Amino acid sequence: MMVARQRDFQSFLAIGIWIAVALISAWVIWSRLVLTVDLAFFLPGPSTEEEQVLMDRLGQGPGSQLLFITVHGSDKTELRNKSSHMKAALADSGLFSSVLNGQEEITRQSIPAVIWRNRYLLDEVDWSAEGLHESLLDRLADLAVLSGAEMSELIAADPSFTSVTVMERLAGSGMPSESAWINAADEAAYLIAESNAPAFDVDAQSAVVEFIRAAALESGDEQADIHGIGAYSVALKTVIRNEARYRSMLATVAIILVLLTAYRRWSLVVLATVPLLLGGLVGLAVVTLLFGTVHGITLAFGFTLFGVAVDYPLHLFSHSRAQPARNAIESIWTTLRLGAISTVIAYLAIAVSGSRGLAQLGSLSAVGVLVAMYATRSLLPLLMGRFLTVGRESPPGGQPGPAAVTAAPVYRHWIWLLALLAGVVGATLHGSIWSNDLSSLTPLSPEILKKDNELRLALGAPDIRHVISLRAESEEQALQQTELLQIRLEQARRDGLLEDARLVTSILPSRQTQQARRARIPEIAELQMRIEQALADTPFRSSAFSVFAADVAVAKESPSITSADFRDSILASFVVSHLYFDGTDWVSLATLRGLSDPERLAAWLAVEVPEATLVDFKAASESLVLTYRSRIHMVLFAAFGLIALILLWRLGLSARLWWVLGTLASAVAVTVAINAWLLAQLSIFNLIALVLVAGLGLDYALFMSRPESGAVGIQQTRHAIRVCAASTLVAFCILAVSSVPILASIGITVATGVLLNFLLAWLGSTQRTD
Amino acid sequence: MKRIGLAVFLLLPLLAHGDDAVRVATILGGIDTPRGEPIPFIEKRQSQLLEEPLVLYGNVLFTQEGTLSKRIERPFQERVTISANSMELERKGRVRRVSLDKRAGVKVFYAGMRALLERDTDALIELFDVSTFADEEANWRIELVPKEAGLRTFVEQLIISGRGSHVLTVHTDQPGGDWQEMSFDRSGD
Repeated sequence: MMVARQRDFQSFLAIGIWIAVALISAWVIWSRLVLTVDLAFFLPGPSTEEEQVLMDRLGQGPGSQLLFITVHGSDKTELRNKSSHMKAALADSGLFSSVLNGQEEITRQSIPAVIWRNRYLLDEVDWSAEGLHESLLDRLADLAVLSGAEMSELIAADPSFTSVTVMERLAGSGMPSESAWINAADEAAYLIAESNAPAFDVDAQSAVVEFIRAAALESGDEQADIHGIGAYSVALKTVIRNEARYRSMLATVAIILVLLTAYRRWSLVVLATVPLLLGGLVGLAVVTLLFGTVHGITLAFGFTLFGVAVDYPLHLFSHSRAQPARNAIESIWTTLRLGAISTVIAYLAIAVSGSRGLAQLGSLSAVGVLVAMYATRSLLPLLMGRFLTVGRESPPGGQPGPAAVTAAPVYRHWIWLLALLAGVVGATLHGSIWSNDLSSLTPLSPEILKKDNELRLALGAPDIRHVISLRAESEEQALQQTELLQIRLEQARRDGLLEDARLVTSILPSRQTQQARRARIPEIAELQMRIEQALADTPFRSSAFSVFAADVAVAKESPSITSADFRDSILASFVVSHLYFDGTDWVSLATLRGLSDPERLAAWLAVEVPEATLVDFKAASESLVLTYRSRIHMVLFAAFGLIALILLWRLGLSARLWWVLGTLASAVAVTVAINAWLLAQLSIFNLIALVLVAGLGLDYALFMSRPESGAVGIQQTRHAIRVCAASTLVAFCILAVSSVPILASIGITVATGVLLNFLLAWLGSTQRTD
Repeated sequence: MKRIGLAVFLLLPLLAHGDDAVRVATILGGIDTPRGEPIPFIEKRQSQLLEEPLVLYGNVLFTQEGTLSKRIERPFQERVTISANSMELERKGRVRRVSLDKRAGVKVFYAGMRALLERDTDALIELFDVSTFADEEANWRIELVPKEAGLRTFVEQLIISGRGSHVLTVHTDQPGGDWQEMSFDRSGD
């Protein structure tokens, strides 16, 4: 009686502790969890200048904040009207730094205040009476062609057209002709809007996209298309959320059906989720405490990875069919613990693979697996013993204990050897297996990426693949070097190496240059005298240029401008994307148009401007991915070495050790080969999915290879493996048909891996009963 | 050819109460639009910056390819060539290309002139609200107001007037009081 009471007390205490752990974890998550979708989270630290620039600019580089909007109509007039309406609405919203629809005209009103105010510091002006006279004659000639109140206002305040020169230089010569803004069939008009928000700030981008859709609806277009990284981030978040919700619902139903078929009890289905829920809660709480900000992919993929833990309760249930749960857990604990600890080592290897995203992913999964394992051992037998029994069948010959070993496994080594050979040959024949393309890490479909590129080319957006970068210790030094680069690039342009380059110094000269220009501005009295001389023999009114004289007088006294002066201007994103402080240096980027031969330009730069580097984002991203993957490979190899050592320690140098390792290696090799053929190339996410495959494979192999307690033990183990494999297979088959490429690819990898794990373990061993 | 043109214009008063599109088509159908042949002009351009209108002398040329070339001979020399998408300014031996996308005023003027010279009624109707006037003396006038509100901030209206088969003046009114009037000297015809 006393013993029973003591046991009850211990049970309640254990259940109470687990409830407390769950509640504390939930509180930590609720109060501290901050989610992010910054792609850079999953990339490692850069090792070269090019990789550094790539990392700095990811999601906020030149061109990344552009949104390409397509409105539809039936003729040119309707399209132009819709386009004008959209442009006005977007420009007035304050959400965009610029909105272009091909109808731009440089007027006094269209010139940003910071440019207008400081125009005489931004470009050279000939202040002599002769120079001013020449300018006036040019303006007279302009009036022979161009006119209107706005033109008159512009000429009156800026007869040298300095502001126009600056704006034209800023716009570049590569803007597309009108035909590019309306398609050939007169069915669609295009606009380019540059959002103020960074491309990967999904919440801000959601507001931007919603505003564009509302403006399009107001102009009578219900189906405006929006392209660009920001729009993709928003669409992706929605699609992934919907897909994740839909697929997890389907997978849950499928797993429930599998479990109900296997155990025929709802209560067991509910119990199976307890270790998973606890693992998830504690894992997420630990990651929240360790990192603060958690990536969306960590959440989605982390829960998938530690889904391996669903096998633990299933092993317990299957082994409880003929004995009390307490006995069952004792009979499987050694094997279950060995499999789980090996899996934890693999996940910890992911955690130290070199990026914050993977560190989170690995930690979440490792903690989740550990907690699920201990919950299966300490909590489930209590709950099962208290509320239900699994014993559907009575074993022939009574209740076997854990020590009653009467069956020995027989290993068919030739099966894993043959499979390993097939896997290695298959993978070798395929050639390059791993993708170095950074876009393989984005969940966007190749069609969307292609369309994005086409729009950028057609609408003359800057080349987002190449930029020239310069580094300096101070902003002033960076600007001075950029001015030298600007002069040299003019030569490169004449030599046909590129059509056009945009540099920050086109609107933000160095302080040195500004001081020199200020010094050349004449005093007001002198200027007025020169204007009078310049007006001689022209039809201009004598009072026409009083605004000009006043503005010049202000410029003479005004301080030099810095990048900070652009902070509240519509040109802020241009300045920030072309000049930034990376924590160590000031980096100035030149964006390019019409780059015909990057290699030639790189060679030319090496000779002419050695301090500048031509950054090829594609090459940099490929080298980044390659380095990253090499590091993950290395860490995973080390982890598998450690797992092998642990297995050696627990299993000894035995046939079982060789069979377990061989079966695991062959399953992974064949999975790699099949997936390489199915998916063409594998990404880092497939590599991580393979770690899950290996974790599951190890679990199956350890259970299938362990000495059993007679026919009942064999039956229970095989039952458990069948249920584990079936539930995982259906869940990942559902993911494999997802419309999100990255999710589908992970689903395919795990589904094929699980199937191979099961088949190789199932066929590769048998049990000899005495 | 000229007789046919004259006959058309004699019919104009009969169309006085008809549809503007039909009347525009009738007027355009009768206009003599020589291509590849320079036509002398005198242009007055008034701006709030000037004491008095700037008077320009030169000739215009409408090529077979649809390019409009305006050569100013006096008081300074300048050549402006306008094609569908861009404007080329040649001054003191320097050539500067300007996208018409950035010069809406010129774009409207060019669109109107091109539709007129190509007798493209559909283009005129598409771009402008059109009104026509004609009298029994074969004098006629076409008033064009840009349909797009955005363009009306650059050009309020374009008035083309003529007599018989000859275009005599093209007058442009702009917001703010600036205006231009180009008169063609066809006395030699």
